[in-house]
Order: sequence, then structure tokens, then C-alpha cells
Amino acid sequence: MALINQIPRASFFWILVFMSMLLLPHVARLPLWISAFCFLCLVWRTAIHLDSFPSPNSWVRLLIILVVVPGIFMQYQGTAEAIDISVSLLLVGACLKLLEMRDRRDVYIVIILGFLLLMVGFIYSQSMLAATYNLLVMLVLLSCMLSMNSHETAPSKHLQLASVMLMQCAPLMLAMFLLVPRVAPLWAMPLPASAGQTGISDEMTPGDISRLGRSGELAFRATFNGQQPPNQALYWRGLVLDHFDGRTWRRSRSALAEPTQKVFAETDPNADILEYDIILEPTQQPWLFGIRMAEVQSAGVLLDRNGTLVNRRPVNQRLQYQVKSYPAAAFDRELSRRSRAEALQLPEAGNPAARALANELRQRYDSDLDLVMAILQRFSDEPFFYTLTPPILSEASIDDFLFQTREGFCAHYAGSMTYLLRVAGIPARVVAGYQGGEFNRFDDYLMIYQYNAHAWTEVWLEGRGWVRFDPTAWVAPDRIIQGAESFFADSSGFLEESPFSFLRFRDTPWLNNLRLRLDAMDYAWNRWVISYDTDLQLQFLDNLLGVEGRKWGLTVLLALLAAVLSLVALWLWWQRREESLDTMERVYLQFCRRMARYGLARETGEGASAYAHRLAAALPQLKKLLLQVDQVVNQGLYAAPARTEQVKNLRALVNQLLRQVKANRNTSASGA
Amino acid sequence: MDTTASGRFQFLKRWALNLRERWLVKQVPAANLVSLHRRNIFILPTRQGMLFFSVALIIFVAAINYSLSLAFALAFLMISLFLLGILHTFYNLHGLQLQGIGGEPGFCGESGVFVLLLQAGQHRQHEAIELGFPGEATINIKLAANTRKRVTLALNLNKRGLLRAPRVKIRSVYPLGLWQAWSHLDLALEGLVYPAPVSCTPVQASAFNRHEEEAEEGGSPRPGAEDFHGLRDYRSGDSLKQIAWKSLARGQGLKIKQFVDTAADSQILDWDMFSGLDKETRLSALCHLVLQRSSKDQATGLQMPGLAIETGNGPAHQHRLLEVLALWP
Repeated sequence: MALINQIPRASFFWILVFMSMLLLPHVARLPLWISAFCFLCLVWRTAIHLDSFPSPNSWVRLLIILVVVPGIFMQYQGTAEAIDISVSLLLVGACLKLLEMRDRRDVYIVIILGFLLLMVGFIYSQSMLAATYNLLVMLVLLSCMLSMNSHETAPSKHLQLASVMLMQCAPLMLAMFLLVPRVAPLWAMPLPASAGQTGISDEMTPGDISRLGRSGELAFRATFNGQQPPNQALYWRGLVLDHFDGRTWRRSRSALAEPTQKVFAETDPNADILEYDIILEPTQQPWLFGIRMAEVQSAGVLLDRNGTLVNRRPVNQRLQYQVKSYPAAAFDRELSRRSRAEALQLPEAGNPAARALANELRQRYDSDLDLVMAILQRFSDEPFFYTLTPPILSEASIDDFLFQTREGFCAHYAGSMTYLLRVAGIPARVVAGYQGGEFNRFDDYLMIYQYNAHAWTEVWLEGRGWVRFDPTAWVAPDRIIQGAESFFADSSGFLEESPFSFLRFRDTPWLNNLRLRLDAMDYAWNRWVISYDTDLQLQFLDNLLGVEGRKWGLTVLLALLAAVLSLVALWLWWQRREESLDTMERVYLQFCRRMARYGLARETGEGASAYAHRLAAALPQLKKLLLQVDQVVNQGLYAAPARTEQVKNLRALVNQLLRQVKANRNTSASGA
Repeated sequence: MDTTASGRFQFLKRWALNLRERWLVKQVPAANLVSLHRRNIFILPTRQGMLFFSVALIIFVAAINYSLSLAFALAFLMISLFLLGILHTFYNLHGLQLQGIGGEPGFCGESGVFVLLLQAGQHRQHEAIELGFPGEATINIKLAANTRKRVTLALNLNKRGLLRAPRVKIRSVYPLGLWQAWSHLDLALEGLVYPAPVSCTPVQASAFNRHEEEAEEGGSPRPGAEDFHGLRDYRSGDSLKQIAWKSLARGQGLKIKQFVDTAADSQILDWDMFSGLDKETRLSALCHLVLQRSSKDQATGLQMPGLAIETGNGPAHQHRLLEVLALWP
């Protein structure tokens, strides 16, 4: 017992491996001193193992705990980073346990902490890479458990068995993953500190979207059920910026947190409907993206007054949602007084030249639509340029842009156009979002990158509601028709912030294909693994069983379960049947019991042969049969594995014997 | 107060043990040869197993709350491993055959040795099998497929006589340590327990009464092995070991060294040598003398009430004497 309670040498090796593997992904995230402390503990443990350094006594351990634990809380003081704290505590706890590890139970505690750390790791990343890495860690954890309980000392053997066990688990795990119902979160949980907001922000100072143009990061992916609209129809609305302070466009406060009824109840039933799935990369912001007049059937998603989608919580992990869009539907045919006021808001003064231009246009055109077209025509006819690196603008930014520099990108054009319209008394607003997207032919979906970020204008026209006008399309039509990537490809500033992006090698066909394939894999991973939820579960069951079948789903499931259990039972029975040894034993024991009735019980511990000889002495006339029985029993029980014929033989012999014993007894009884 | 509580507890414990024993007798009957199978293997999670499963559930709840697909996968993988562990641990014992060979005789109060023969199942190796009597040291062995192994188990011998060994506990937590499969097997192992040898001074008077011829000779000390008494002339048949070589060298002729046991100087060990003592002590004292005499290779006989064993030498004879003492009613 003492021997088995010691920790085998091979286990030490595995413990050090998995602790290092668990520490590694967190090193970048943890404060330096915590990583250093954990590393030191690993080295110390190794030194203890090699007998070159003593194990810490209880005072030293207490001291370490008194220094390190408050240290962690002080480190994270004032931040709500509960997850970071728990990662630190788990890691430090596991490392301390490592130092005082003495027997099997301690090792198991470290292993269990390892499993918890694996789980916490998934809060930070669920990418394919993370999953593969954690699978390896799991393999090492299993190997460690195996090394604890086996005579085998070669680590390769542990690894081999661990792999086999993982593979044996796979079907059951997969079935549970697919079929166990996914419940809504039971209570709110703390989330890791945001890595900084990405994507479009809720204010637009000309310059912001240009920053996005330099980034090759993925914003979201979209899959259309059915025909995919052409590039120039792909205006992904994000948020409406309807408050201007002379320099920056913002989201007006009144639109915040004001969920509305469905805005487009008046939808023409014949109108086009676009249905698509979006997987949004984490942005740490609540806005979701969708084509005009989007509708999302999900409890967590709201529709605000401006027809934009808002998630109840900031998107801090990849989010998949299904959208239905009605691109042709009228939007706000009637404009409320308040909305109208908001759509005409302007600072008191500033940009005199622009104001003069707007007033002049207003006098020239009676019709609002004509005025809008005149402004667009002006962008198209006069020497305006589209560039990602515009010159810096002064305080009167709109005047500067319209009459001096005339170089800018979507934000400049959308902002100044909206300004002009508002001065002219036409309700207008800036919409920020993305435009276009790259088609991945390997899995038929669109990839929308940060450089697809875009801004345009929406104008309210009498009788038509809000209508989209994109001044950029008039300045640089190719940006909209061909898409941002081919339009920008050669311009300076494009992808400046992603120097190592694969996107730079778009012109090398095999590299480009590799990029698309990798993205398709990642997309499939996200769509089918990471985003697997109740909806997908139902969809999966529908595909598996048919819509009719799903109604019987529970029955089918139970039937399946019963079938599996019966198979296991059958298998166990089969195994048992092969070992007719048991049957042999049973026949023999039955024989012994019958003999006991005649007062010739087998003594406990009496061997079969000894018993046979005793019986033969008591019943000399049956000696031959008894010895025959003994012979068969000895052959069957002790020599070779019993065969079915042997059992049959024994049974026949025993029956014959018992008949004779009975007959003997009767004659002797009548004789007496 | 305390004592009554523990008394009640003791009673309950005895009752439970008794119940378990009766159930075991039914479930796993005594047999010289037992193969482990579905009906005599029990399996339950270990403490580590319970912990592992609880952590899997904690991870499951966390997965729900964070909506983490991969955490779900991890929880399900852990639960699958836990369940798979049942099969692995069960099949590590399944098919193993145990045969009780018997116990080697030992002395009461010492540790006895019982021998088992283990036969591995076909195509199935048995890893890390723990074997032992309850409360005794266990051994941990590995058995390759289709092989046999002789193992010896230690058992504390605390009662003279023919000892029926308690049930052997066979246990395994292989491979993950999450489950333990075990069985309590009565392999009908029997071993002879000799009385514990205790050195006692024989009661002279009684010895006197018994050996009247010797008493007539004048109560001269009986030849023994313990104390040097004197020299006498050599007679043919005397042991070479007892020749006084020194006096031979001094030219005093062939003399024999004479020893006496002050009382137990007879070749026949007599039950009445220790009259007045209780039965067990008498047996222990006789056992001591038997051992002492046979270690000096002296012929020894035994005289018990109603049973006499003539003198003899050698291990077989010693065993015969000790067996009589061990089985003395």
C-alpha cells in the first residue's frame, strides 16, 4: 500500500509537461511576476525531484501564500477582471500544490486543477488552434493519470493508451455534444477584460474609418440562403450617426436603449427577402450588422428606432445570428416630429461656405430628390478625389473639405453631404457599416474585413421614407462595384496595420487559395462547432430525422439509447457465454447441492477430487461414475478452458449419477 | 455516555459486517478456484473519481453560463472518460482466475504466508492488480495475457489451530484511478497455525511423578543439552559432536561431554511437564521445546493425554509434533 501511494517517476514527467503546457497560453495575458512565479515553482519542483533542493516546509508555504494571493488581488484591484483573477489563482494554486505534492491524492488535485484551467482557457479562445492545443494538453493529463495507476513506465506507452481512450470516448462525446439540450445561461457570468474595442465605433470623425481601411482583420462572415445579391447591394448597416457637433458625428442618445416594434409592418409580400447567417467576430460593442430593414428572431437582439440591430450585451465572443432583410421595404413613411428634429439637428454656426451652398441649392431646387441628385452630381463632376490618406482638415472641416482639399474617403463625403442636406432642411443622417465583402468559393460565403468599413447617407423623402444615397459611389464607383480590396490594392495606407496579413498575397494564386481554404475551415469550425446551439441542434435533428421525425425525437432518442444499452448487454452476455467455465461450475455446484440432500455435502474447502473419493467410499457401487464425473470436472475446471461438449458430457453424467443414487436409495429404503 | 454510544455503534457495525458476510457467502461462494466475472466483481467510483465527475459537472454548468461550445465538449469528454473508465477497470479484473494453493504453516502471533495461483484471461493482460487480506499488507502485480503467476499473501496469525483464511480482497483502479473494481474471494485457503513458542520452566515435581523409573535412579539429573554436567566414558553410538576433544588431547582418553537440562532433559516431551499452567501456555511451552530440540537435531517424542508419539528426528517429524500441538482441542 505504501508503495502504491508514492508518486511514480513517470508521473512527475507528465505533471511538469502539462503544467508548462497549461501555463504557456496564459503567459502573455498574465502579469509578468505571476508567470515568473509559476515558472519558478516548476523549476523548484524539478529540483526537489532531482533531490538538489529541499521541499518547502509549512512556514515557507504559508509565507508564499500570504505574499502571492494578496498580490494577485492587488494586481487586479479596481478592475472587474474576475476571470483573469481566477486564472491567476488557479495557476498559482496548482503550482503551490506542486511544491507540496506528496501522495496520489495531491497529484489528482493538480490534475483536476488542470482540467479547470483547460475550461477557463476556452473563455479566452475557442479557435481551432486552441482546441487542438487543448486536446494535446488533455492527452498529457490522461497520460499522467495512466502513469499513476500502471506498472508501465515508458511515457510513449501512456501516450498511446491515452490516445486510444480518447478515441474510444469520441463517439459518446460526440453524441452528447450533438444531442444534450443546450440551456440558456443560468446566471450572468463575469467575462474577461475586453481586449479593446474593434470595428466601427459609435462616433465618426473623418479619419476613423480610414484607420479601419488599414486593417486586414475579419469583421464578420455572411452566408446567404439562396441567391447572393451583387456587390453594390451589400450595404451592411451598423449604426446611425445622427448627431453632429461641428466635427464629429455621433449616435444620438435618444436612440439608445429604445427597442421598437417591427418598423416594416407594411412590407409588400412580393418584395425581395434576403435570408442569411452572420458570424460576427467579437467587437466588445453591442451593434450587429445587417442589410437594410433587417429582422433578427432572437431574444438577445433588439431593433432600435433607426432600424439598426443592437445586441443586449457587448459582443465579446463570436456571435452567430440569422437575419431576414427586406431591402425594398419602405422605412418610416411618416416621420415623427421628434425624429424629424433629430434628422435636422445641426450646430448653431460654423462652415459658412457650406451653409451658403446649401441655401443656394435649396433655392434652385424645389424637389428634395432633385437637390440630393444635384449634390451627388457635384461630387461626380467637380475634381473630388477618393483617398485613404487625406490631408488634415481645420476647424471648419466641411468648408475645408468641400472647397479646399477635396480629398477624402467615405466619411468625408457622407458627412458633408448630410450636412448640406440638413442645412437645406431635408432630414438626413449618416450610416456607418460595411460595404461589399469577399466571396469564398470553397464554402460559398462572404468574408467582410475591417477595410470594408464604409459610411453613407440616408435621406428621408416624402412618401418614400428613408432612402440610401452613397456619395462615394459617385466619386469612386469602382470602390462600390469591384469592392474595396481591388480598389485599394495599390493605394498607400491600405493594410498598413496588418503587415503580415495573408491579404497582401492576394495576387499569388496558390497563396490566395490557401488563405481562402484556411478561412473556409475556420468558418466551418465556427459555424458548426463554436456556434452550435439550440437552433443548430434542432436543425441537426431535423436533418437527421426529418421535421416529422423531430416530433418523435424523444421517442427516437430513447429507442436509440435502449438499443445501445441492449447491444452492450448482449455483448456482455456473449462474452459470458464464451466462458462456459461458469456453466461447468454451475452444473458441478448443482450436483454438490443434490448430493448434500443425501447427507453427503461437500465440505467447505474440500477439493473436487477429495470429495469424489469420499463419495466413492460412501457409495461404492457408483465409484466408476463418480470418478468419471471427477475427471471431467478436473479437465474442465482446472486444465483447459471448458468446451460446450464437456459441459454437456458433465451434465449427462451428473444426471445419470443422480438417477442411480436415487434408485439406490429407494431400494435400500425398501430393503430396510 | 461515550462508551454506550460506541457500544451501540459497535453493535451496528457487527450487524452490518455480519449481513455483508452472509450476502457475500451467497454472492461469491467459497471455492478453491474462482474466475472473476460480472457477478463477483463490484465496481464503484473512487474518491478521485467522484471529484473528477463533480468537476466535469462544474465545467458543464460553466459551459452553459458562458455558452462555450468547447467547454461543453470538454465536459462531455470528461463524462465519457468517466463512463469509459467503468469498462476499462471492470475488464482489468474480468477473466482473471484465482486458485487457492494453501497456507504454509506458521506460528501464532507471527505473519503467515498463503499461496495463490493467478491465471490471466486469454488475450487480456491484467495491470496493477492489488491483492491482500483485509487489513494486511497488499501486493501489486501485473499479469501478462495467458500467463500464470504464483503469489504469496501475508496474514497475521492470531489463533492456534487450522486457520481458515479470511476472504482475499482483490482490487484494481487501473487505468485512470476513477473507479475501483474489487472482489472479496473465499478461496478456501487453510493453513496450520502452531502455538506461539514460549519458553517456560517446567514444573519439576510433576515431571518426577511421571518418570518413576528415573526417580528410582536417585533423582540424578537427566541428560540434556542445556548445562555442562561432567564427562563420562565413550560408548559406541555416541554423537561425535559430544566428544570432549580437549580431554582427548590431554591424553585422558575418549570422553563424552555430558549436558543436562535441569528438568526437560527427557527425550519425551510430556504434557504434564507444565502441569498447573493453562492449556495454551502448556502448548506454547511444548512448542518451544520441540523447536529447541530440533534445532539441535535431538530426537524428540511427545506424550500427550491419550496420545504418544515416539521419538524421531527431521523436519517431517517436527511438523508432526507441532501439528499435534496446533490441533490440540
